[in-house]
Amino acid sequence: MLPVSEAVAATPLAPRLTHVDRVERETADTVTLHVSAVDTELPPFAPGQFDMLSALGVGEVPISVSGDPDDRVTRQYTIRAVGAVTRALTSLRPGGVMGVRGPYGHPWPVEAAVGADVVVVAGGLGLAPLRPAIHHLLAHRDRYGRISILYGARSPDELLFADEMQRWQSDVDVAVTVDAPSAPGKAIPPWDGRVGVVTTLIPDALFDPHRATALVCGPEVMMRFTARALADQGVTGERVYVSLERSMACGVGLCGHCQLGPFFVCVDGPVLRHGLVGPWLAVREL
Amino acid sequence: MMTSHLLALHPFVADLTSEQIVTLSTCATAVRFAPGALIFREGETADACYLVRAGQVALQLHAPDGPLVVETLTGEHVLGWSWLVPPHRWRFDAVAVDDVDAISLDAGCLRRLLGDDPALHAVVSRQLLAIVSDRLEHTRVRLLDVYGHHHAAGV
Repeated sequence: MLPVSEAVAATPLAPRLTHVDRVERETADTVTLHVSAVDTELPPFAPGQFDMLSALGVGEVPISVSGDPDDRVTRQYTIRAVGAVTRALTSLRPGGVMGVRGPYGHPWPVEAAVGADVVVVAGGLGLAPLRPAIHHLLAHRDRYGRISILYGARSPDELLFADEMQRWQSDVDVAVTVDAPSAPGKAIPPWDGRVGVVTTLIPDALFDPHRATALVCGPEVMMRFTARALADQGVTGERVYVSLERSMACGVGLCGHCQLGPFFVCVDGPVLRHGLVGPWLAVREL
Repeated sequence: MMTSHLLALHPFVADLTSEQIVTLSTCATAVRFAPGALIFREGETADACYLVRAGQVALQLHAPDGPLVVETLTGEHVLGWSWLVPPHRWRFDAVAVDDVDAISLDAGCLRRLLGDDPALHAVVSRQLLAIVSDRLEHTRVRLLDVYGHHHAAGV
């Protein structure tokens, strides 16, 4: 019998086994898993790429890496329990085992943005795929102009990485808003910050619209309105990048599950220029 | 009355002629609100239109458990259009979150000017309609609850 590492090399679609080292609860239904490979290091990833995670005996799901791309030992995934596979993954405890294959897909254009202002716009769980890009921007702060992180969430108790965001504020501009500061019958931490949709943060953000690169991730409706609000400020779709989510099976452009017009989101995305993919997002039934 | 120069800096009057801005300035007063100050109260007469120059304002409704913040407005914006629509009563409370600098346009004076000058009325109404349209869009998007579970792929 082949050792696991050789078996993986022989069959590139086979997942590597990983241990869960730590589980951080982010919100009531969302956790961040810190995992490391059982027998070998996981291959490095670029900000914005995703892995196919397998809950053993349940199924496989694409999840963007949410940790620091410079961390070569531990991989982080921020996962919300919304279906059978993600429920199984979010139920894992330290010592639990899961499968990982990847990384896959096109990353955020952090190199192409060097020298320019960067606007990061995240909605809800969309902050997770952007977090590696934020780590990268902060680690190379002197290579970029102004950096603005604009984050919108449903309510204060659904804000991700709140402590970390406080630390980001010392190096970059951070603005946060929630849709609902309170909810009947729900204990929500007191909120004295902004209330409204994330696009309302854009006019106040400091960036040169003619040179800025925008990285946007969140629900598709939110990204559509964000691209429009950025365009109102003068940021064209050629410099607005979105990370798309589509049903995926293979992750490598073979099965066609994630096809969007001429694109396979798994290999052409998940990060795509809005100027390129925007018209396809407007096509109904796709 | 304040100088038309200060009024001319606000984006709300960008489409007005210099003469119209001078005319409008006869209704204008510079005002400042400290953090926590009540700018207007639900149900009271809508006696002004505020062109906010800086600062954050919370629009809120009173409820038994305390105020419910409906939306916060920041930067240069227009606060209040109830002065234009009968019965001219505020629909919400407006509270200064931080230091708020604004230009207060007296509602009676403003309505009189708009009644006398159909061209001014058209420009101001178009500007207000754009703002109402934006806020309606924001509200509709929030009603969609796009961050909610029912929008998540169930894998």
